[in-house]
Amino acid sequence: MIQIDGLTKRFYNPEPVVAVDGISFSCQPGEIFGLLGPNGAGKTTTLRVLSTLLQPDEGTAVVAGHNVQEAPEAVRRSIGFLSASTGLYGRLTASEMIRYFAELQEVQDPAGRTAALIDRFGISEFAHVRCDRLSTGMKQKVSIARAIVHDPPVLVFDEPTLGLDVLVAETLLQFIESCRDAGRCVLFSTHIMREAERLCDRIGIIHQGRILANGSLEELRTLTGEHYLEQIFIRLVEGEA
Amino acid sequence: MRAVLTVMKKELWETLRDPMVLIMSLGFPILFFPLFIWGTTQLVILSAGLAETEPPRVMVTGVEAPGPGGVVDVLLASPATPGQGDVSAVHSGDLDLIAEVQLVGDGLQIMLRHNSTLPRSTRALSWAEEQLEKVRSAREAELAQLVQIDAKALEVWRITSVDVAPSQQRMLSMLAQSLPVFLVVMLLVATVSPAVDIFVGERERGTLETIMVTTTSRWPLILGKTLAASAIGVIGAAGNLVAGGITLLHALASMGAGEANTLHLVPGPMCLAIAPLVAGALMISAITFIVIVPARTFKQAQSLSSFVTIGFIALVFFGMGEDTAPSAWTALVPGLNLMHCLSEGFRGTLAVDFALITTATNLALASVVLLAVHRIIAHEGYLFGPEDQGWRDALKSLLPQRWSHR
Repeated sequence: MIQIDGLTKRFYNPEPVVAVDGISFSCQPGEIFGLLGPNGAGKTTTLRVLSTLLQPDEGTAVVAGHNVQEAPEAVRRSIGFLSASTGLYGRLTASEMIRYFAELQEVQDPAGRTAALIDRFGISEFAHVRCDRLSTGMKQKVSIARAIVHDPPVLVFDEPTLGLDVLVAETLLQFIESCRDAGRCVLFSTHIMREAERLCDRIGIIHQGRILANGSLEELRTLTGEHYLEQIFIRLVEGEA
Repeated sequence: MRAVLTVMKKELWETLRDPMVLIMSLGFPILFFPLFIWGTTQLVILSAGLAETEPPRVMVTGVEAPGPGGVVDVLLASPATPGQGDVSAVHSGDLDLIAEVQLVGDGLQIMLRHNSTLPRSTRALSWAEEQLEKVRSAREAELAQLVQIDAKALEVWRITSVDVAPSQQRMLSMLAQSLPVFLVVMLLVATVSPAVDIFVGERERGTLETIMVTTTSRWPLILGKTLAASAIGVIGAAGNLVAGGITLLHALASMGAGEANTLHLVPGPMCLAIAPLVAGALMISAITFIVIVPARTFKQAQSLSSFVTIGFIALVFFGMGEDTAPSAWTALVPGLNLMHCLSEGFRGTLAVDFALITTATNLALASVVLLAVHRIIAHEGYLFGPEDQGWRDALKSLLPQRWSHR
């Protein structure tokens, strides 16, 4: 469902900085793949390339059978994207917000899909309240509904729990698990080890733009001889140094 | 097309819920004329009241040969108040007028020193000129009686100007000179404010990234936003025009209903001016977008948008000069062409070709600018570039790809 081979992305500021350096990994339907790394490791850049917001300099990225450079619109139709910095239109109501994205994503029955999502996420009571008056938890639910309004087979979450309280974060993590159970392909980036341990079927440890190791938690334990993910991560980063 | 309408509808809906935009784009243009007329009327009433209650303070210097009933007596007669001081007192407003009377040969030379920046001094000047004219007429009559000829024979010439333009035409001319200026400024104000909110608001609220990963391409997003900002601008300008018309008709009615005080606008040229007006709103939106595109925050965008407002207002005032009458070249100047179209529309003399050239010019300019905006926002530097390098990223994105890459 997601296949990345030798993906490289450089930024010029003005000197070239390699943000992502020839990384490769894949993620299958019904699987959660976690990109685990510290801030500035290249997680967000990788996800932005996958969601067609950035163009890769080298390598290929294929999402649901579509190359991100050759068929960006088909890729966008196949993914739902949610990041920590995602905002809402404060002066639109929750219902209007979801419907707007349903129309932008060319959903067949925008009104019906909006009603279904409002019902599914239990936000009927707040459906006609402006987004800037919603609680953080409600806002997050609206954001999730917005991201999956077109029922995409691939979901990309970029540090989605950043800045959320425990209860709201838990709701989100449960939702991500339900997506895996529904057979979706989930790519999830985080720097919180507990989340990765709990959710991810396979984990890619990314540091300074390169994937240091890639596999299930058991495989990583075997590789490093460490038990906890924090220790695995430190061992891999120290080995790199 | 459906996506364009979706974006436009959402932007209109969202923008019109912003109290600040409502005030700037609709409230201000609609309330402008009623408040302006009311304020002017109050000033006139206040000024007239002052004129009645406060006599001019006049100082007379020099000598006058003939005795009582002459210039000095008249200038110091009621309601004038004798004042003391010199020119600096007129400067400061302590004295309204100094009349310097000198004998030159057999005649008198009277110099009236006043301060045109002070309303009291200007009123004192008018009053003095009126009084002196009476003295001159009386003396001419005395002299004529002395030499036993008709007083009119002493007049070398008498100048009387007669305006042959019908009063309705004078009214239309006055409207054609003043209303388009206000209308263009209101269109500008009503368009720029929502354009800033619609364009930079996406980045400020953090919704830009989410909208860019939808299946809708960037063109419908840009066009929808442009149409929404333009629609609000046109609604604001139309509201301004309607409110201005109602205020004017009310003012004319209070002056006394008569043929002289009625408006006879020609519908054809007025309607013809609508196309350039709409194209002008699109052009203003597009230019606002490209000017604010380097802005990373709402505040930066507001500062940058003031250049658009100032630039257009400068063009409009330039267009008020006599050297810039409507012509083939003025139809190609944005802002100026719009004002001329509206002005000619009010006069009832707007030519179809001028309106077409203006509309085409403004649409062409809007298209070119929107192409550039599209290119800029398709560049990844626009989405994720450093905050302090908005201009650099915007300029780089306009370069050919092999250069803009770095």
